[in-house]
Amino acid sequence: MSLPDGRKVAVVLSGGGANGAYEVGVLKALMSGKSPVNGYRPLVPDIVTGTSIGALNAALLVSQWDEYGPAAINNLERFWLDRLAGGVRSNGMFRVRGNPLELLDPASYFPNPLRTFQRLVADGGYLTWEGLQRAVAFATTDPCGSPERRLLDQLDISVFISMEPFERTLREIDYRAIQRSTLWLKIATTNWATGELRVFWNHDMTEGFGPFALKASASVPGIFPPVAYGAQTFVDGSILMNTPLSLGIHAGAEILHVIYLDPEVANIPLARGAQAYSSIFRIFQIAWATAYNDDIGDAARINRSLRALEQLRARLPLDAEADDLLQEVAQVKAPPGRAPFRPLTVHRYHPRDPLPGDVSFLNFDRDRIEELIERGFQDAIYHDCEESQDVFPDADEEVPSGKLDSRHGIS
Amino acid sequence: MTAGVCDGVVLSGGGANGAYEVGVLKALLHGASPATGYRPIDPEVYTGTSVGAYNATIMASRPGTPATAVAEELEAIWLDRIANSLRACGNGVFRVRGAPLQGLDPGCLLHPLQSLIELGQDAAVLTGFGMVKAAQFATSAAPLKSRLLSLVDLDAFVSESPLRQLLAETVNLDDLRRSAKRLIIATSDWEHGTLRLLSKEEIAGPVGTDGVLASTALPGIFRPVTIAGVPYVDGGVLLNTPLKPAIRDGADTLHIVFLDPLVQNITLTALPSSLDTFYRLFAIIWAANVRRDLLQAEMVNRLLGMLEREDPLETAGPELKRLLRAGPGIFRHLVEGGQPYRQLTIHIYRPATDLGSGEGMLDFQRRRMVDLVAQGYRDAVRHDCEAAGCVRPGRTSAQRLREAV
Repeated sequence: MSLPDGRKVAVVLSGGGANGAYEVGVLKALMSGKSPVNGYRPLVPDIVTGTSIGALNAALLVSQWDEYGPAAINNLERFWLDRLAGGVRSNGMFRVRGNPLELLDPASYFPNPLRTFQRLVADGGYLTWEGLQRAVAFATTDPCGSPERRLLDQLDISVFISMEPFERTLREIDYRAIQRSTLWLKIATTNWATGELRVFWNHDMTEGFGPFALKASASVPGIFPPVAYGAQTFVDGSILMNTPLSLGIHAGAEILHVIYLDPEVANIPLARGAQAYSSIFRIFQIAWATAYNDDIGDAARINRSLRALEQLRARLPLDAEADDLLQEVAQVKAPPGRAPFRPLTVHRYHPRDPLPGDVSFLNFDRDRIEELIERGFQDAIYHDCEESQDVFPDADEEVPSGKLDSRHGIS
Repeated sequence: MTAGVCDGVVLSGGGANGAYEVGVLKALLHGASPATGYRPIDPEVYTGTSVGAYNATIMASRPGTPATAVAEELEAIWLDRIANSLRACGNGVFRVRGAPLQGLDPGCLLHPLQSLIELGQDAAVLTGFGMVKAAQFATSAAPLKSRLLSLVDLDAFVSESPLRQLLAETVNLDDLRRSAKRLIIATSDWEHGTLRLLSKEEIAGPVGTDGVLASTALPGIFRPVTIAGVPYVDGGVLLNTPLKPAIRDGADTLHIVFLDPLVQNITLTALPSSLDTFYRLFAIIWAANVRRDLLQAEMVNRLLGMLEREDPLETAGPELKRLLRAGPGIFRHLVEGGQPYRQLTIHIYRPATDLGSGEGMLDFQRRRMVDLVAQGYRDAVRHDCEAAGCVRPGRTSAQRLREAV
């Protein structure tokens, strides 16, 4: 599977909801051998890592890999267009509860004319029940509590969103094929109770647990409810690792194709009104962009650190303890039982302009999905390593500080 | 105080819970905490984010006044100015807009009516808010999704004018300029999504107290603060606990105050509000950042410990420096800060339990403020490095640290 020289290849897929269609386009170009990055040969990865929507793409790809090889990408594209795409009423990810507009949409009466009514009634029941519980909670809360506090207690957006369509979509994936596959899958979620990153691999993806893991990885807190499995609760992995680059590095990959969905924060226009939700999206984008830049910075840093360590070793004999500590200090110490780190090559693909559409990561309209796939495809076909600031083993020296370490630099 | 020790205090963000920091400061400055060996300290470096930025600014802007007296003054500001009280009819930080009964100053009415009026006020706010929003929802031409999402809009009804006034009345920029203390506060550039650290010179000079206001402007609740044409918001978006800036400024004995307990100790409620959810989300992100900083600090100590033992490495100057510069955050800060390398001592103070999750950050009731100050004081007096996972010179407790943070 690896390259002739034995180097392992990883594909790294970020979170970003509906914008994940862009990833499909990039993969289509890479896997059909249409991108200069891979010398116009079909890309054959050893590892696929994913977070959130990237986890879904990764799992779909791995589930088809052994049967179709790089041609599996065509099935992934079809899956997006046939299953995930759709308006707010009919997409394969989520449904807004109690939406009376559905009654006006003739399409929603097929194939079962009663289904729309049934859902509305069920939603009515759900929302009333939630509303009742909240009303009771409101009335019985300490009446001395401040009004703003009790008011805020009653707001929970995620009550209005149902993930039932996504659950149905997830049941269509072949989990046994993922478990058996020779292509390595790693997906990131966050343990909601402890706040720690939790990574699931091929062998975790049983028919019972697989759908939970994928649903959890996509459950953005505050919009989708957390996912409980037994006593544990998981949410979107993107809180801690939106771009699971380090999962690929730690799995031993030396060549990484990273697809990242949010453009530079500065390119995202500020919302006219300062609405709480658009503010919160922006916070996410800032946090994600920062974490991602740190990740990319890490790749460049690993290469610099490895070089510096070599020079130090050449200069003086380090005993095992000192060598070990210096590897830790430079954060180039491979996990126990794995080969030592080697210099990395990182190709980056991401949309340069803001992606079209309103609240874009929830927008699964079919036209938009098609456009995103096409954009990803074009970007990969015309990929320019220099313009994309790709990282190479021999790339040179000091990166200006502040650029990679934006979180901590004085600007 | 030991010669060569430079004390720094790092104050995190967390809204109303910032009263807890006042209690910790009192204990440290009075020498009531085992963390300082029961010696009173007078920290030279203060860094802060959000409410921590306000507390830090007060602590650093009183030249000529004994540190303990400044802490007492800060406590008085919290209890008399910031907290809700019956006489003040509101808190000193924000005001909920558009509450129909606000004109009546319900807070000024007599006790027996208080809770009844609050209940009426709540209902009115809820109904008014709900109706306006429902009307917008029904009449808007915007796509359904954005209408749904715009249903929640807090900053439409939260005004920061009381905080602006509080800053004007409690921070004297001339005093700040004359102060020998170092001060750094963290804000986030809302347009570019980058961290902006403001130094004492900038706050005392061109930026003014708007810098502190920006550091506290939690997006979605308060409006961004524009400084020189650029909108800034709460530093907590990117750096809620500014440890590295304190290290870069030369502090080697650091006292970090967190306002969140360990994530697993934050209550998971059956019916979480969106605010609770976002609070937990941020607590997770902040905890991950701090965990990384502390592990690196531990590594700094191990490295410096080894350099003292192993002579050959001393002579490996340039190569080692190159390795450190290539390394993660703290090492580069050490090299670039230009200070002589010293092992770090980091004491951590944090509440053992949840301080009211998301809503706690907005609950400025006086009784609660008094309790929080007392709790901070008590926690600092009972400070136990083993349990808190402090970083200390010459120790290699990375494993335990991982468990504790």
